Amino acid sequence: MSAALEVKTAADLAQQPQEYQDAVRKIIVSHAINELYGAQVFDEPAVAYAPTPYWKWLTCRVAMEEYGHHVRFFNLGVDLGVPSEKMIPARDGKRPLSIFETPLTSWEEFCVIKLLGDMAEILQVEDLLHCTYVPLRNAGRATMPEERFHAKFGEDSVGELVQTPEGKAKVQAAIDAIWPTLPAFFGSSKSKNNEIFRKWGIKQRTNEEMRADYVERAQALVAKFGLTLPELPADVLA
Amino acid sequence: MTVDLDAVRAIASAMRARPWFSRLGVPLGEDERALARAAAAGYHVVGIEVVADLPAAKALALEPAGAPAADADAVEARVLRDRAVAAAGEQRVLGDLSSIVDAALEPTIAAARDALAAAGIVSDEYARVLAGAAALAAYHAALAKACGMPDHPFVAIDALFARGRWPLGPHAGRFAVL
Repeated sequence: MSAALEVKTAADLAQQPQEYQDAVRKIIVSHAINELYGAQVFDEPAVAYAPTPYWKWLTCRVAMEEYGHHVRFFNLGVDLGVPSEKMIPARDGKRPLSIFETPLTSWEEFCVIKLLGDMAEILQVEDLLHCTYVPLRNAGRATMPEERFHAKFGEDSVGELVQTPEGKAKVQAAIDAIWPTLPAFFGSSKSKNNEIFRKWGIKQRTNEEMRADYVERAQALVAKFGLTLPELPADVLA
Repeated sequence: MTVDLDAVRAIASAMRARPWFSRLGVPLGEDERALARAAAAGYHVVGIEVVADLPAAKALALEPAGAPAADADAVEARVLRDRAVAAAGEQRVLGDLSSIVDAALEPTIAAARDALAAAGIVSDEYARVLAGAAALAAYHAALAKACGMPDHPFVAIDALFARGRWPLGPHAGRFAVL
């Protein structure tokens, strides 16, 4: 069904089955909320932890870009009649993802969030690049270059930190603390939502496939710096 | 206290038309020197350090000694924001402040890339540093103006950006400007 489906506008979407419309709204709301959570919980507080004006201004810009991503998905939601309060964290009435519940406490943690958290975001956005709802596909394409830069920021900053034994130990401690919260970003392996997203070609892969891909990429990435990912409890991978 | 949100909106609407980073490396004019002195006063330093070029500015910005002044600015900005929010309400104040971020996103990065390219530098990272500094200054100035403080050093710093400069902050007892 989804192979031939291509919906170009919000008006065209309104002519589609309700299940498809609801699924598109749901994924847009999820991206709008997560982008803003990321900016508020990690990027904005990180400015204070950045060690020099150079890194502070760079972090500031990254926060602005994450906020800009929120606005991009927010506007898509508005076009589809989603109430604005449903796309703002803490006003949507839902508990945030576990990664957003841990306050940032150091520059090393922020660099690890950029390294590993933004890679998770890249995978999520990659999955939208062939989405059957074209405005969402376009939003994914517009977002991708900045997300890639944010992940590169993580690589570059971690690369600098691991140059000293003390810095490397701090980065490893940050990975040990943050990594267990990250795989849940991909949702449950038995997710009904994911099934519907794939049925309508909004997303391409199962949560399980994406999580497995993510874990593999993350392992390869940290290994480059002589770092390791801690073992995860089995329920985190379910 | 009355909050001047028109001043915030005026800064947001000026973002696109500003000649961002267009006078880097050009000798400072008298009006720019006056603004740099006003900015310097906010950090209890006197005198102006004219930074030679973008590589020198990067080296200066990478000095950890500059971090405390930037952190003090963040604290001051938070005080101003809380004052504005208390007087005019969170939704109105943060909504108008967000419009500065929206308006600054594209023009600052485009101008930063151009300025770097003109200096023979291609760096997405450095372009973002310039763009981040410019947008942050506009945000700070908007807060000061909203709180009825047109003579605040934040306003002088933003005015230097608006003239095409990059004010880098206090450095070795003087205020550094490219």
